Amino acid sequence: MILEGITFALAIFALGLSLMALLDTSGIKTPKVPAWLHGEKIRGRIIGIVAIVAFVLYLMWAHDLLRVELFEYTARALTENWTSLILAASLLATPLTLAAVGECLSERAGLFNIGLEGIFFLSVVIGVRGAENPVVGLGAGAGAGAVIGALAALAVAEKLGRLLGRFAKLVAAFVGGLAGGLIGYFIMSIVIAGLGGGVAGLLVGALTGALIGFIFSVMAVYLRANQLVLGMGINIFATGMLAFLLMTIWGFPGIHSVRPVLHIPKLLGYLTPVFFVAVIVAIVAHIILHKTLFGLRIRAAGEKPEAVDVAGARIDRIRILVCTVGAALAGLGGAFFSLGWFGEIVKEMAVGMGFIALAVVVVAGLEPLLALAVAFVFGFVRVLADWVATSAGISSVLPGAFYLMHMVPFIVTLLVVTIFIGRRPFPKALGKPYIRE
Amino acid sequence: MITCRERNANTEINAGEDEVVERLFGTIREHLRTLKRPLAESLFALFIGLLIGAALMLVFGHNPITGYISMLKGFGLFIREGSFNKTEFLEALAYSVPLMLTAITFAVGMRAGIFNIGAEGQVYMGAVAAAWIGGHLVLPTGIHILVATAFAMLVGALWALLPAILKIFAGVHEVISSIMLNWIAFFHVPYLIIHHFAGAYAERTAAVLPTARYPVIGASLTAVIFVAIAACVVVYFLLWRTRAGYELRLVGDNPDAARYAGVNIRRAILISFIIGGLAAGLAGASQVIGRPLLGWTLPATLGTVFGLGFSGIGVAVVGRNHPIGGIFAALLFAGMLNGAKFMEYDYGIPSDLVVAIQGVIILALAVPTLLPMIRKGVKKIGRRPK
Repeated sequence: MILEGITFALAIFALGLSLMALLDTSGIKTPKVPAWLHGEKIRGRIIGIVAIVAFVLYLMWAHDLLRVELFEYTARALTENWTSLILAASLLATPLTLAAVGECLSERAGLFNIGLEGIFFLSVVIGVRGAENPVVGLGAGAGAGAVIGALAALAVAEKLGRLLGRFAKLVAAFVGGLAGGLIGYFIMSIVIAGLGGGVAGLLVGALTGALIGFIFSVMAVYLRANQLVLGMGINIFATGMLAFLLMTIWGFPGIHSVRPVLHIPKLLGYLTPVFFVAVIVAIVAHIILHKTLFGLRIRAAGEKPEAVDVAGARIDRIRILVCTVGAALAGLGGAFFSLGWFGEIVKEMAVGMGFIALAVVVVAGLEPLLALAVAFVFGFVRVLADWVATSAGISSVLPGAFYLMHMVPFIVTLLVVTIFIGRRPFPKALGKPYIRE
Repeated sequence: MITCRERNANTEINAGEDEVVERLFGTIREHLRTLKRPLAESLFALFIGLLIGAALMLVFGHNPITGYISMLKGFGLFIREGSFNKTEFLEALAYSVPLMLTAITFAVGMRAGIFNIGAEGQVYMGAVAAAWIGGHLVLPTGIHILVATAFAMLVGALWALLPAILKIFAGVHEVISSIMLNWIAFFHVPYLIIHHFAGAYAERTAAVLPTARYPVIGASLTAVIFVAIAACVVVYFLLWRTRAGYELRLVGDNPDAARYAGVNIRRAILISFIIGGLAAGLAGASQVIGRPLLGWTLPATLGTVFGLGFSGIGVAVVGRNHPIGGIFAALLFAGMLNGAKFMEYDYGIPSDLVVAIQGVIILALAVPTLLPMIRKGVKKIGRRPK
């Protein structure tokens, strides 16, 4: 009762404060608004935090959680079996880290891709298909190899200068594409033969992500498309395609289980090799971003593209390359959902995960290593929520805890953004197409 | 627009009957001219979407022509049978109601330079609010509908208030805050349904009382469509015929100019969020008290409202961020969604293909230079024979 009373008082106070501040902005003359409410920077942030706290108190009240038992159970949950919880958290942390690190890089370069959810959805299906059907895997490998080969050959031809005519460049691209395709085919067949279909599926998932990222970045860079609309378009397209492909490929709506042979092996029941790959990816991304010239260019491409352009580097290529690689990482994470974790595809499996990955990026302030840590924490919270839902005592006394814990990543993100947005600003040119003057 | 007004003013001086007619046609022509480009772009994007949909059908071994003819049944056009099915047309209209409303949320945001994708969460909140008032409060016949609708809109607006506060005071980007609030609502509403508002079934809200139901017109269409269209018209008048609306659009078009002109930018942003929240709340209400789905209830899985907010983005984009354009775009999307089930019945083409087509349409319309680019391309092709 006392707790509820205090909460109510606090919430009403906060609501009143926010309303007064709003009235102040609405231009209606309200002489009684205190002077410090005229939104300056710090004050604005305080108002924001107060509003969020009031909101969270409302949520706790609505979920019947303003009770003493809450603290008791939280303590119990955290002390009782934290080792297995942490191990389980590594499962969710894997796709989150991969996608978030990729998104960190791509946002640093100035491309804001909110289509992560869509990349997850598509790579889940196509990755599993690639694992099950070697033809798809080999085809994807050959295709990707051909594109990379052709682009590399073109780049080399351009470096050689004006010696080569247009026809020679075409020939170079063709030869490069052919060679690249063969190499890709060869690599993929070695992967399938040596490491099994599961790993090949992960690679196919990554290639799917890369393809989406490539299309996204080309449309955003060359056609100057609105990146946010593009991202939402990808999400909606993928939502439809996931169900469509599930039905057309396997002829069964909503669910498909993968043969156990194709699963990625798990150590200790939870740890997969992909988790270590994710950790390594985060470290490598950190090194590239902060210790190399290319990383400097990436950061500058998002912060001050004119400078990079003047310095002689190609903004368009940097952005497309980084975004493609970033989306490939997200695709790897997407394929991991079914091949490394659940061992099946369910239509709703990855719902919301792409947005949690976005939340991770925001909370981490575009730092790959921080993204790894935040992804782990969010993964842990999620696992804890599932544990709370299944442990008998808590789910009967505090049924709202399960739902509230699912919200924690989103609430944390709101708070972090409100508190730190000034200290860790996003790149200045984020989301804006670069137009040469 | 200015030239049009000036000409009108000039002709008014000696307006004979012919000139009145001439003036009327002049205005219409002017409107058509401003409409031509966005219309062409939307139609072209639709064409691209259908083309890629056809390609997908071909790849997976379906006949796209028969598939699309089946899809037209969703609009009530039974081409094979040579008849017009009124029930299916009404069903398409019923589908379009929430879409045109969530389109307003996004469109008004875009007009104010705000990328407000929070409609999804606001729809959930509006739906559960309407279900609560409709199912748990006993009120007289006429008033019940009004109270339920108004409360749903209010709750939708309240849910939009937090992103607005964070945007105005703390400078938090609205995309981030509204995504977070969407997912918070996604986990908040099921709890409210199961533990507070459940009726005879544990996983659904109690059925809305007959006093709070909109009268059914036919199929699953109810009178709520008139409320929705009225809302679109009201928003149109607000944006294009009032000072606050003018300021709102100015902020979206050119924030610097707005600042120099002394426009209260924060107020404009706040208004856009509030209008969006009200519209999305109404969209949520329309799925509970305005549509006989699952016996006038809201399921805890949110199946009847999930995705409406995101589809609204597509509708707004196709309707060129205009509330009236949104009505027609919503009809288009609704007919496609409704027709998808016929594709599945008749030829076994999974109905979700339509959602993918909508995604492609949005992708195509994200490109601002769509039309000039095509024109250039056409010219190039034309030149080649030289």
